[in-house]
Amino acid sequence: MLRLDNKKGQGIQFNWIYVVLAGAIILGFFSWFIVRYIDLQNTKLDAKVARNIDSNLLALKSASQFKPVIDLGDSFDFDFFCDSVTVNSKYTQKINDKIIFSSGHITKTRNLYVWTYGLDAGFFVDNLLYIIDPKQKYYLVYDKDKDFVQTLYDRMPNGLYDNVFISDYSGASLSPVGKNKFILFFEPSREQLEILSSKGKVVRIEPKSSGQITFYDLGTASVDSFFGYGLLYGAVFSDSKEQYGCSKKRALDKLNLLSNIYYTKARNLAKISRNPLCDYNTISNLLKSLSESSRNGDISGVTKSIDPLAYENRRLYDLSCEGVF
Amino acid sequence: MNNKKGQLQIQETILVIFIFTIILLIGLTVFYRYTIDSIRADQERYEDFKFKVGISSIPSMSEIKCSFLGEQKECIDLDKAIAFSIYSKDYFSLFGYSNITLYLVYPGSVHKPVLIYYRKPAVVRQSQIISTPVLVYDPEYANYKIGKLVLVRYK
Repeated sequence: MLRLDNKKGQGIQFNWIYVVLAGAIILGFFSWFIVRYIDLQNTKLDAKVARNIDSNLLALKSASQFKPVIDLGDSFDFDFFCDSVTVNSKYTQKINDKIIFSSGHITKTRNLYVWTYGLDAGFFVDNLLYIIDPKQKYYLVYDKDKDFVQTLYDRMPNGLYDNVFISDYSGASLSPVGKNKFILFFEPSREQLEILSSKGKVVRIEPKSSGQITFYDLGTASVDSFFGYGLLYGAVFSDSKEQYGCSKKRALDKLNLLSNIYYTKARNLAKISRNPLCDYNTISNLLKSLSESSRNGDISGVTKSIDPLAYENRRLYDLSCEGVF
Repeated sequence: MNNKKGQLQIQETILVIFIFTIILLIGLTVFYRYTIDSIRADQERYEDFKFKVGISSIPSMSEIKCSFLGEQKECIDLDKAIAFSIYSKDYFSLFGYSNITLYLVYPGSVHKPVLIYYRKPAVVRQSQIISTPVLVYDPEYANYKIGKLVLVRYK
């Protein structure tokens, strides 16, 4: 009798073990499913936001303007590089046809500022897009060249004046620690560099319409170059030398393409022109040289071509010839 | 008899679990297919949107837009469009599989239509066409023409 009771008791125990195990497996499966589903929905939302940004940038690219806010509806993390944007470190959207300079990693924001500014090289090249983190502060720091820096500041839209400040070194050195970037228009001393680097990123730009940019990062200095205000502002709003360099290369590729297009047009105009005064050889050679300089990344070559090109084109118009651009 | 009862119960349990699993698998498969279709539909809607926006953004491209003394004007430069067609093959990431053609409509012109961009996939399941009138500047005759920009998207 006793043995029979034991077996019955064991049977009930096994039953309970079986129920608990089966229940745990089913619960575990549904929990896994719910987590994956939520993840999938979040990824879909990230994709939607990334595409929304791409569409907004396409619309903003059409003209020089300032869009105070792209309102995203909720907070997201962004990683901008020169040809893509990644949302919440999950979904990456390619930004193929736009030249962007941005703050790099932007955390927990529901707004983005976008400023569009044209790049000119004797002729219009493209609209550059500067994507700005509303929480980032930019300090344009002057020493002797206050006028130049003031001109740069005055060209910016009013909506950026909560984020961009103009000051001398003593004012900049008192800025609070935070998401800062210091753009110096003079050669800093070691001590000045150390103090500012402890408060944010530091970049030095030559106060000219074309010249060198020095990116200071973790004690090292790396150099790049710029021409025109478009690329100068690009250096102001870029997060790093890599990002600036990549966007600058895209701008130069575009310049190369446009130079070739205008060269082809100039050769065609030379063939069909009935006016003996309309000599397109000089402008064709200048465009060829500009194309080569931009292809090789030779900024000084590009800068040297800009004024003569504009002059030659104007000269053609003055002679009642068909202008190239 | 108790043994038989026990065996019957075990068989019953196995059957229940089996049927439950089948129903669960069917349900998951249906849900998975629905989710994939919904993602594909989202992607398709986005591609559609990009295609429709393209017809307004292409005439604004500096590669073909008119420029007079460095200032851009709202027209397409015929010479630039012809020159751009030589380099447009590098624009696949932007235009994808599509055909962009500029027709000169009025006044009549000796110019053939300008094939600005063309890339067709090996197999075309479907194509979408959209067009818009544009102002075209002809530098050869220094005059303006009415043109039609036609954008064909291949799927």
